[in-house]
Amino acid sequence: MNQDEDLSNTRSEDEKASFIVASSLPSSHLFEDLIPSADSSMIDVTHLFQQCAQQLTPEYAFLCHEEIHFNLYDAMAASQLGHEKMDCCQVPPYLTKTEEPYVFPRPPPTGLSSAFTTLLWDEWTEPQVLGFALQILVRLQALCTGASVGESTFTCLYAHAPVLQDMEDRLFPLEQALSEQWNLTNDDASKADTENKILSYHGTPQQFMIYVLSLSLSEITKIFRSIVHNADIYEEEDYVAQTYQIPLYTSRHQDIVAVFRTAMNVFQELSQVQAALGLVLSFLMGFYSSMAQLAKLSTNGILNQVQGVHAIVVKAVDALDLLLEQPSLESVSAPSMAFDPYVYRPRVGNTPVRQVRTVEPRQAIEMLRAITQEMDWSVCQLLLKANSLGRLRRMLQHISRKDVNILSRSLIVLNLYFDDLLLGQFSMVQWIWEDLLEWTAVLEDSNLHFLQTEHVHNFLQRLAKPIYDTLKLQTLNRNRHRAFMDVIMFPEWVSLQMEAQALDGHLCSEGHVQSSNPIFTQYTLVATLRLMVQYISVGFELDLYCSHDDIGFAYWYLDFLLSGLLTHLSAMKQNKDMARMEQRMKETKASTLNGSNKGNQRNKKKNQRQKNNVPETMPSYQPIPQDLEADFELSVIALKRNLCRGSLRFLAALQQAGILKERRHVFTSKERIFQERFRAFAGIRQPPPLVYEQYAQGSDFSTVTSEELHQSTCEWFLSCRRAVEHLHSTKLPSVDVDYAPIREIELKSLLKVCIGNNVYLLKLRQAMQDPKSLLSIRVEIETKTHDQFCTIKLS
Amino acid sequence: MTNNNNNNTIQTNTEDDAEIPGIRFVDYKDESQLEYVMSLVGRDLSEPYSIFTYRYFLHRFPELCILAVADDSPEPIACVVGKIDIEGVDETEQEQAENAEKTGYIGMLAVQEAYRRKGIGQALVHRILQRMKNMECRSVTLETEVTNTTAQKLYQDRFGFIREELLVRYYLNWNDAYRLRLWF
Repeated sequence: MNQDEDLSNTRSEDEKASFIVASSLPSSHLFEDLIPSADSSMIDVTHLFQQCAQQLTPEYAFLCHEEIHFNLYDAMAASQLGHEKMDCCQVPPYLTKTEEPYVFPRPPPTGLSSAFTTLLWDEWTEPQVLGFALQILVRLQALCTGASVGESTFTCLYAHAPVLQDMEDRLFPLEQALSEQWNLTNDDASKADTENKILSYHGTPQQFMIYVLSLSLSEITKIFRSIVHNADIYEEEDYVAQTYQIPLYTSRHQDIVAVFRTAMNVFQELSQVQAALGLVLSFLMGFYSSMAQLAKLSTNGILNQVQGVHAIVVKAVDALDLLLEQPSLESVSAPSMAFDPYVYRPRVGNTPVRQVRTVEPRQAIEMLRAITQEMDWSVCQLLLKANSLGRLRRMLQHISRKDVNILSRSLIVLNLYFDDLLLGQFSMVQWIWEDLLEWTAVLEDSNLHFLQTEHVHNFLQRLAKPIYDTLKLQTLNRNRHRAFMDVIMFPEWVSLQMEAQALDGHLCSEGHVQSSNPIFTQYTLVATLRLMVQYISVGFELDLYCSHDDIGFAYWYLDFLLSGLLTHLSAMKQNKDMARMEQRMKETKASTLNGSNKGNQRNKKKNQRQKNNVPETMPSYQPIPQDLEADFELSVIALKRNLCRGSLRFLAALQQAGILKERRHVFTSKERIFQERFRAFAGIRQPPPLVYEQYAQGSDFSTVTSEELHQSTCEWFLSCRRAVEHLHSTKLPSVDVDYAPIREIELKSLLKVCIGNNVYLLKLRQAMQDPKSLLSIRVEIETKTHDQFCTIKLS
Repeated sequence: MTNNNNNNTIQTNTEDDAEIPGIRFVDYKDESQLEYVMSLVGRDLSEPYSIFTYRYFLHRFPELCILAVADDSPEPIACVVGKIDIEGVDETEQEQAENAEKTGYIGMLAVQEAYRRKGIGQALVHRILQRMKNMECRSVTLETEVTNTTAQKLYQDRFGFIREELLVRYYLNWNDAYRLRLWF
C-alpha cells in the first residue's frame, strides 16, 4: 500500500471497513472460542468503531491519522495491534535488549516545541554539537547506502521542515532579513560583496551550528534525491523514493553556500571542538558542492569544471581522513532526543518495516569517504580521460565491477550523454565510426567517402542508442544486468545484426567493401558476443551457478563465446594489420619514386629496385596506444578462454575419478536446466544458440584416460599462469591503467586461481594412487579468490 | 533418498512419494487448521506474515497446503504452503487466462525442530511439486535467504532447482535472497 497516495485520497463507501462480529460471544478469550460458528447471526459494529476512532486525538494516541477515517487497511492494522511482528509501532524485539530508554514513535515535530517533544535549543554544549555533527554524517551515510529518508534524514528531528523553519525564524528574524535585503538591493558595497557574503544571525554559535548541520543534511538529501531520480537507474536495493509525506525544507537562503561559508567562520568560536567540527563542515560543504556541480555540468569548458570538482572532492576526502584521526570521535555524543529512528513509523500503515540500521560514526565516516572518493575516480576521471568508445567501455566496465554507489552511478548516467554529445564533448556517431576503424581494415583515406554514404550514416545513427545502452548497462546494479540484457538488449542486437548484414550486402554490391570483409556485420556480431560473455560472467559473480553441472555448463558456453570473440577480433585485427602494411608499402613506394624523379644519377640501383617495385626501406610501424590496448584485450580474452577450458577439464577429471557425481532428479533433467539457463540466447541468430547435445559431446572426455586428462588440465592452467605473468610484466605497464582491460589486482587473483587449481590437481593425482582416499575427498568450488573463475579445492 | 551407484550418478528422489514411518501426510482441511500452520511457519520465519497472507494462500489454493502429522503428536508437526501464478497475466484475470503459463510458488515450508532430519521436509516438497506438475505448472519458484544453506541444499541438490536471480536486500533484515526455479 502506498501511504503517500492513500492518505491524500478521500474514501469511498466501499473502501471503509465493516466490522461484524457474532451476535453472541463466549466469555472465554481462547482463540478457538472466538471463531464464529457457521450458524451464528452476525452484528455490524462498524459504527461503534467509527465513534471510538472519532474520539481519539493525536494528544492521546500514536496511531491516529490526521484525518479520522478507517479503511480496510486500517482494519487489518488494527487486528494486528500488539503483535510483536506485525504491529509497526510495537517495540521491536531486537530493541528490548538495550538499556537505553526507548522513545516511542511520535508524529513528526511541528517546531522546536511541539505537543510531543521540546527539542533542545538553548542548552547545547560544544561536545553535544560535535556529537550531533557526527550523527548527521551517520544519517548521510545511511541515505547514500539505500535507507529511505524516513530511515535516515528524518530520524534527525532537527532536519524536519517545521523545525528548520523555526530555527531560521529565531536565527534570522524577519525584520533583520528585510533589512539585509534592503541593503543588498540598494547598497553598492553589499552588492559587490555577494560572493563572499557572510550572514549575520541572532543566537549562540552552538545554535547556528545545529541549524547549519541540520540544513546541510536536508539540502544534501534534496540534491541526492534529485540526482538519483533524474538518472532513473535506481532499484529498490539502492534507494527508496518514498518520503512518507514528510516534506523536505526549502530554505529562505537561496545560496546554501553562503550558509556554509558563514559556518566556516562561526565554528571557530567553539574552541573545545573546533578542529573536528571544522572538518565535518568542510566535508559537508565539499560533498554538497561536488554533487551540485557534477549534476549541472555544461559543455562549455567542461574539462575545467570537472577539474574544479576533482579538487573539491580531494579536499573533502582529506577532511574525512583528518576527521578519522580526531581523538574526540569516540568521546562525544548527541542528545538522544535529537534523533528518533521510528519517527516515520506511524505513516507506513500496517506494513512491517525493516530494521533501521545506523552504524557507528567512525564506520559512517569511512563509508562516506569511499562514496566521496568514487565521485573522483569514477565520475571525474571518466569525464576527463575517456576519449574513445573503446576506452569509455573499458573504464565503465571497471567502474561496474567495483560496485560503485548509486550516487556516482547516477552522476555518470546524467553526464554520459547530454546536449547531444557523449560525455558532453564528443559526437556519438563519430566515436562509433572510430571504434569501427580501430578493429576493421577500412583505410583511413576513404573515411570521408564512407561517411558520405547515406546508408552508412543512417546505420551509424541507428547504432547510437543500442551502443549507448551497452554503456548505460554498466551503471546498473550488477544483479540487474542479466534481466536488462535479456529483455532489452539481446532483441535489439538481433535486429541490428540483420540490418548490418543488409547494409554490408548493399556496400559490397556497390563496390565499397569486399564480401570477405563485412565490417558492419562483424561489428554487430562482436558487440553481441561481448554482451553474451557478460551475461554468463555476471552469473558467476552473483553465484548463480550452484552445482558442478551448472558451473560446467557455464564454463563450456563461455569458452564457446570467448573463442568466437577471439576469432573475430583477431581476424579483424589481422586484416587491419595487413591493410596497414599495404598502405605503408604504397607510401614508401611513392616516396621512393619522388626521390628518384629528382634526377639522382648515382642511384641506379635504386632505380633498378624501383623498376622491380621493391622499396628500399619500409619504416617500421610504431604502435599507437590504442593498438597496445587492443592487443592487450585480445590477450585477456585468450587467457579467460583458456581458464574456462582448464576449469572444465578439472571438473571432468573429478567426475571421471568418481568424486563429483552426476545428479538425476525426478522433476527435471540436465537437458532442461541447460535449455533454461541459456534461454536468453535462444533468439540470437549469430552466434547460433547451442543445445544440450552439443554440450554433451563437447564435454565428453570418456575416451580420454585420466592421465591424459590430468596432463591436459595441468597444461591449460600452466599456460594461463604464463599468460598472466606475461600480461602483468609486459602488457600492463605498456598501457594507461585507466584504459587497461584488466587491472593488476585482478591479474594477481587470476594467478592465484591458476596456481591453486594446479596444486589441487596434483592432490587429485596423488589421491588417485590410493583408491580408498578418493572416497573421503570433499570438493569445494569457491569464487572468493576471483569472482568469475573458481578455485576447485579438494580436502 | 540418495543412491550412490557405480555409474557415478546420484538418484536424488524416488519416483513414488516416500513414506516415513510414524508420519502421515494430510491435506489442509479448513480454517480450524489455520492456527497450526501459522504457529509452525511463524516460529521460524524472520519475515512476518499477517493472518491475511495465510488466508490468501489457504483459501485460494487449499490443495497446495499439505500437513505432516506425527503419530506421537496431536498437532501437525510440519507443513508446506504454495500457490499457482499465471505469469504475464494480472491476478484479476487469471481465471480467464486459459493458455497462459502457470508457475507454482512455494511460499512456506516449516518442520518442527524435534522432527527435523527425518526427510519430512523433503517429502512435503516432493508432494507439492508433484501436485503442481499435475496442475500443469511449467516451473516452480521460491525465494530463500542466501545464508539459508539448508534450504538451498534441499531445493538445489535434491530437487534440481537452479538459482535464477539474486535479490539484493530482499528481506526486512536487509539480507539478500536467491530466487530459485525448477523447470519441469
